[in-house]
Amino acid sequence: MVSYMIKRFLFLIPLWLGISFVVFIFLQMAPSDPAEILLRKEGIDPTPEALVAKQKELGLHESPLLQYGRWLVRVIRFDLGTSYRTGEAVTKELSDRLPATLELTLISFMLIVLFALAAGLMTSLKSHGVLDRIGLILTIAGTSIPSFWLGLLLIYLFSVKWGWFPVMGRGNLFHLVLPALTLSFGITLVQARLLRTSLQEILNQNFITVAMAKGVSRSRILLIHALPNALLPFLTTLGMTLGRLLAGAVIVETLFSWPGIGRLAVEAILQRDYPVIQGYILFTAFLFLLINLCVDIGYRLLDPRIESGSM
Amino acid sequence: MIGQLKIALLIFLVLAVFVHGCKDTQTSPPHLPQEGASVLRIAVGRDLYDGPDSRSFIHGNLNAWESLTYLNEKLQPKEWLAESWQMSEGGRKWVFQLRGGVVLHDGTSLTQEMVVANILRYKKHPKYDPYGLYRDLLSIQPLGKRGVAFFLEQPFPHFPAAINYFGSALFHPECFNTNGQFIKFIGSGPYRFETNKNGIIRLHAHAVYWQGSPPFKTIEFWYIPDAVTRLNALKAGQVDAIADVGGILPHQLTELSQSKHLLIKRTTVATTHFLLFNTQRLPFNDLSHRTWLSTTLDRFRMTRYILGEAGIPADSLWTPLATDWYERVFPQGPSGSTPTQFQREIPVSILLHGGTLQRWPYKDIAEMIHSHLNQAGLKAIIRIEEAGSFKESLKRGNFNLALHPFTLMTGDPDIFFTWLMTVSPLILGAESKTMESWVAKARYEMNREERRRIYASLQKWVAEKRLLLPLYHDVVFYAHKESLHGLSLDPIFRPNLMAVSMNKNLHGQ
Repeated sequence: MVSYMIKRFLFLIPLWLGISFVVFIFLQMAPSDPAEILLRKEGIDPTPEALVAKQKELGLHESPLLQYGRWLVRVIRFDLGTSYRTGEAVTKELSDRLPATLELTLISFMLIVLFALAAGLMTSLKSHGVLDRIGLILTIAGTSIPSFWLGLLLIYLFSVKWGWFPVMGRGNLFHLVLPALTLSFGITLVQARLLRTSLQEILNQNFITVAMAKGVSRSRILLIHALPNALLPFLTTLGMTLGRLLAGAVIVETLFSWPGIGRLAVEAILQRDYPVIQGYILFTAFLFLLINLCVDIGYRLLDPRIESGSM
Repeated sequence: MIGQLKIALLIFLVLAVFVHGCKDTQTSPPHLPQEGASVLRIAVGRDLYDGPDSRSFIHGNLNAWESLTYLNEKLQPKEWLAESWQMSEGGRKWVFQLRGGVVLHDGTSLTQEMVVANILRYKKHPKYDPYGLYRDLLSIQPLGKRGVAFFLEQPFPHFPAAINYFGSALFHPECFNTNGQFIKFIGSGPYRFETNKNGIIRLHAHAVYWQGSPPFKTIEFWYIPDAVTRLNALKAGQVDAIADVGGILPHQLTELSQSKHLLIKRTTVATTHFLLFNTQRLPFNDLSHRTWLSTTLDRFRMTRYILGEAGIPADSLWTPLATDWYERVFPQGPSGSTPTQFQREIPVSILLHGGTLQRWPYKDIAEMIHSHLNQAGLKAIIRIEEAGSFKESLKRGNFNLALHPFTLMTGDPDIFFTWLMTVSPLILGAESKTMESWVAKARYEMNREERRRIYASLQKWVAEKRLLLPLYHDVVFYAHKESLHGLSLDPIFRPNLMAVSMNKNLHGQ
């Protein structure tokens, strides 16, 4: 198992390097010259001579590959550069905002796991029953409603009309409810539906029929025999869900003025703060890869039949 | 059958809850956590934190720093940290007498040396002096007991106006490093800067402020970029006011007016919104095409339908508040001229700055222009770009038309023409030399009548050349809880935080 984990971890390195290369190339292709941005920020007229001097100072005159190498070395040393806007280190900017995003993402993730499990189990108990049909309708609705619209609706009802929760900002648990609901709503319903389908398949298999014939209780069959088998596809998509949550947090954080890294990214994009944009993409990519690694390991723990070679 | 009935009943119940929630009735405001009347929360639609590598670290709206002079309602200079000023040597020497009893946030008194150090920072680091106010400054020195003398290379007729507000923002000299960047913040305003965290700038009362003790212990400025969330935060009682230019969009006014417990106010500000022409690119490199669009685009209709009371159709290059310089050079409404023959295969790009869309109805205006162009048989596209890309497109001429706001921050035309010469080289093109010489002439002209004459001619020249089209002058709407008293915005949209008070009996309603 340990060798598998090391192997999987080592596999992340080329993947992350690939991502970092793509990020670097994309930002190289951006329409403006970092030398010019910095010169303007320093109040210097970007004459051709000044530009050449600045490009030399920043190493921009070197080949892109060499530039990439130097940049990579700095990144490995956790030096993602300095924000053009605030003058703070990008790593500090990201680490200041990260707790808020993690809080929102993890709570949303917990909501997804809890509600999807509960709803999946309940709807699978009686196929085509009342709950199952409601679940189907809600799933269609949940996947059709864009998160920003759902967020606005929730704000209107629960904050403006009824005053139960704050409209925006980060603070106590009350502040978390609406953003977390907005972020998790659609995904929860899809996950529940997935689990329900998977459970239905398992419940129709022979070993379940045998267990029922032997008089094993319904709840035991569902929780002990069917659920672990049905969890595998659920867990795979759950891993991807975390990535979706991180990406979705950009919209939800902007809508609810939630001070996380998603909102930081939007502000950086609006103000063309390249080091922050670069840092954000690299960091979220790293986080995403790490989450997938955890999911893979969890997958293997749940089903030891899966061999490392088949991954 | 019974199962189906159950489903129908459940769906009905869910719908009923939503319909009830969407009914346009106002319930009593929510019981959200409140810190008491000692905290005032103001929502704004832009980030008022400028950072250490900026002129003033934080925006002037925060009332944390002050300047030698400020502007009155007619955009004329008035005394602030300087209680008087005198001009001599034909406009080459200006002496400002500092107000006594001004104490900075660290407890030190404002001195002449501090003023000198601040002005030298602007002079030494031109990036903190974007309009070149101190380009002609030869020297600055303390004079007498409280005077500060500015010696200039050229006469500077509107110097007290030019250096108002951001032009002479004053801080403790210990705030800057050798590069002129902020390492800490010590100002003299009624509120001192505490923190900028999670999009909230927190300020505390400066107890020994020279105008008296500030009414609130703490003031928070909440940066809420989304216009809908901003309004909902006010309606839900999470913030006490929305008070900034572009804080409330025109289409939100109807909804806002139906809210009980909220007061809506308006003020005409020094901001004018323009349609910029790329005069170096087809089709608007042709004066007749620019004339056609300028005269047929119905600004009355645009203002009436899109802005309502949030705008005044513009017939001048700058706000009518600047009465000293106001000239009506752009006739309003369609002139009846017929569309000219365009090269129809070239699509016209209307460029918008993405950051402005949550503050002004630029998208609606762009759509109206789009439709107008389409009716003339001209293809058009609306392009929305983020700040950096927008500036880049303006600079490189990657646009045909662009929407852009401009605020007459000094109340003097010089700042307008300086902006026009720098916003995009593709507007003026070859005409920039002509304009430069006129602007320089007016800048140093001490005879007020002659200056007025030059600016009048310049305005007419810009109007005849159709370099840009002023669309509307901004009227800012701001709103606050009815428990709040005395909140007002001035023409350069700074809230007067010394005059605000909270009625404790109504607070939290």
